[in-house]
Amino acid sequence: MDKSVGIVSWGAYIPQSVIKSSEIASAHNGKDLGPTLGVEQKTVPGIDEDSTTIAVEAAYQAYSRLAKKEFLEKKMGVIFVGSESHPYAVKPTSGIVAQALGLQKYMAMADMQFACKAGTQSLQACFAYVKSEMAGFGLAIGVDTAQSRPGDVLEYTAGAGGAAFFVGTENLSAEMIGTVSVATDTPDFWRRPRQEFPEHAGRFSGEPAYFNHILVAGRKLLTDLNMKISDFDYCIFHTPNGKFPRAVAKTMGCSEDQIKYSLVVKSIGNTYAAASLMALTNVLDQAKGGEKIFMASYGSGAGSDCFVFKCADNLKERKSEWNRFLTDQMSNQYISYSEYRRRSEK
Amino acid sequence: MKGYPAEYWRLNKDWTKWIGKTGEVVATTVIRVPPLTLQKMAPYTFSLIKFDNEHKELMGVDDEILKIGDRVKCVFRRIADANEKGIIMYGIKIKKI
Amino acid sequence: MKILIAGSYITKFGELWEKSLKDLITEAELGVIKNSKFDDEEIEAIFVSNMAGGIFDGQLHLGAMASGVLKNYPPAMRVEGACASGGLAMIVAEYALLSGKYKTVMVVGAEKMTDVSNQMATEGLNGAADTEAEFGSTFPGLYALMAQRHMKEFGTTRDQLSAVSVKNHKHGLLNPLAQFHKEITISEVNGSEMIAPPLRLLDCSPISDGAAAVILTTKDLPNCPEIMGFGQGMDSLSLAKRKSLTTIVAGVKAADIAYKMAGIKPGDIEAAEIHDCFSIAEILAIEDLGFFKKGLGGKATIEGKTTYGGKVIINPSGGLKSNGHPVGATGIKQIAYLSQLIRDKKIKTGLTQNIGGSGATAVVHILGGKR
Repeated sequence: MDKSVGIVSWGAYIPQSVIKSSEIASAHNGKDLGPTLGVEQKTVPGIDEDSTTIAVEAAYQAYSRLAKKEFLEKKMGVIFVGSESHPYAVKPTSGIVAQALGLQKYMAMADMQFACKAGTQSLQACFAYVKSEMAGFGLAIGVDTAQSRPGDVLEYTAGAGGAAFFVGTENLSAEMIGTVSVATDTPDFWRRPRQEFPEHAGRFSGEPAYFNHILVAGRKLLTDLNMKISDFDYCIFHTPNGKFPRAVAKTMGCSEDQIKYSLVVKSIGNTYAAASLMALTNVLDQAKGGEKIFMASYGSGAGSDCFVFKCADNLKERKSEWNRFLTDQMSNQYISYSEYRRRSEK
Repeated sequence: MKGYPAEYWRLNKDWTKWIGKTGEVVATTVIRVPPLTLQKMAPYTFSLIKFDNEHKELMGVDDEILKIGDRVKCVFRRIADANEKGIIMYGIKIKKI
Repeated sequence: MKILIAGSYITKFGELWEKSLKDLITEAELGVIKNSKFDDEEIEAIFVSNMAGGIFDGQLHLGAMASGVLKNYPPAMRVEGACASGGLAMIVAEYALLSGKYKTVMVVGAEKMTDVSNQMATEGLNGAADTEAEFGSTFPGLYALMAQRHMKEFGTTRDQLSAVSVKNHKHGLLNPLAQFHKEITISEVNGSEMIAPPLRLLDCSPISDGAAAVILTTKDLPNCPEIMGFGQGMDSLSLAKRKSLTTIVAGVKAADIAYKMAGIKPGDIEAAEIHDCFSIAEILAIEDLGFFKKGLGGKATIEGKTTYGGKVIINPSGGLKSNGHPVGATGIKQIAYLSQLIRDKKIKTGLTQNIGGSGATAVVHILGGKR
């Protein structure tokens, strides 16, 4: 009998400073591209924050929401952290997060890299470890403090944030019903080691990259599970901006209502490896028992991870004490462009 | 604290004891002329906090300013400036609740 | 057995570009011998006070350096207690004399702080705090926390803090060896650069070079000021473990022991050299030493009670603020300066208070004319 596996608890964190698209526009001396991109503002990490500190904040929230913690000791655990901005090139973010949480020493772990789908790939890998019973629990984190070149259009969207998920086989908040991934060698967006900022291939990152991979993976998953897009209460598509997810949702046949909670990108920007997971967090914050979620992430280079979740019947009771990350953490501490750049010169 | 690897390793055992702990500000100031490893983080808050069983002196997050009586919680942050080659100094700071 | 101060010497304090640490120690040793009735063969031991020679110059082993200034290489050792190194070196010397092992010893304190940048000097001084438990702090920051509490609990004002620096600069004008000979006003202090609120630049003692030395003896000599009493008190290295931020308990303990040993009360003291590393430190000191009630130190200062014509003359040398604060030299300079005033019959009884760090170590001495 196939063991059920899913999300036990989740946590999210966004930094407390925000910059408006209009502020970036005035520094660029041009038109405010925010409305076109569907991103009004984005989060900016503090001078003492990085992907590791943000990962710890998100993971700590998920950890403190666990009703039972004994299962963290029963068997080896696994932690994967996916990011494009791991502070060390060699020395895993996962290890520091595990130390900060005080997790047991019998842990498998590694840092993941696959552009914006490193977080969902971490989640999928945790599901595999736990479902196969090689690990008793998994902690999957997607986190980024995205960098953008001054003057580049990516300055409008490159945000910061982290989302963390404890994965297990019991006490589930949401069961993972199925997952499919797709990947090809498609050079739409990349960064070489000694470069501070990534390069992107302009319009090539649209149809052959983002749209192609999400549609191929998404359709395969629906076929495998014998489901239609209209079966879902919520649909999540990776959010490099507010435009792309709306377009691919339309192609898949989603309604505006199905995607409305997934578009946190409007308020926090594109959090790269955290993006789809942060959208999932917001959806879970709103979802009711028994509801179904479809999620398709996208990582440049390129690939897509798709998942179908079914919320536990007692989801409402489980999360009754949990605040909603967007309302609880969204700050109104707007900063200037010069302050934004000062913090970027780490 | 100098940022030596062994020293960092001895101190990271304490992180779990503090993350999430809440307390109250007893006295607070802002360090405007910082030590060598905190040049980029200055100016930053430095406060004496009263926790349930003890007092502790901690830096405030980012550019947050505190007052006597503020309730704060311990969070995980970088506690020294970024550098190119050395280990990254992580530790505990306090943030207003 | 009475301990007498048989000679004293203080160098100019300031930015002494032409003098190295070795030059300062040498000058003080040879100077104090010249000012005394002793030859250098009669110095049986030397106690050296220095905080940061190891940090600023990489120079340790200062006992050996001091010993080598005198022909016979007398036994010598270095004593360290942050800014209270001078007071502690005195205590070690006093116990050596009281043991009967020695009859005549020298205590010399020196510090060379200006070869390194201001930044490095401040960094070096951080070693006086708990570098792990107080990471992120600076000395102005630690004393700022104490100032903030004092202002909250007793209503001490910005002007009262400034009055300390103003008075000490006034006193410094009368001291040819002081680092600063410059009168300042309350509004100048109030408007100086903010270092760590509420402490501003002119609340803080400077970075200085300098040295001082005394010769202590148990021989019966005429006209030598006597050490009537001394005491050492301790408290936690870090502020977090203190019971209060508005009393330096170590100083209260040290004073109690010193007053008892001398058989006198605070009211008997005519002048005191106290540890004004920051303006708030002086306000705490004059309360903790029993000159004024707790909480009223600021008021007393601004009302002129701590200067000539007042109740007790605090820091006639100009204090750390105006005379300068070469850390290892300060504790010895305090003794040397008062002993001069007693010798010149300007006062009969004086007190010195030397504090280490934010108040973890305190040493109090009471000096008097021969009874």
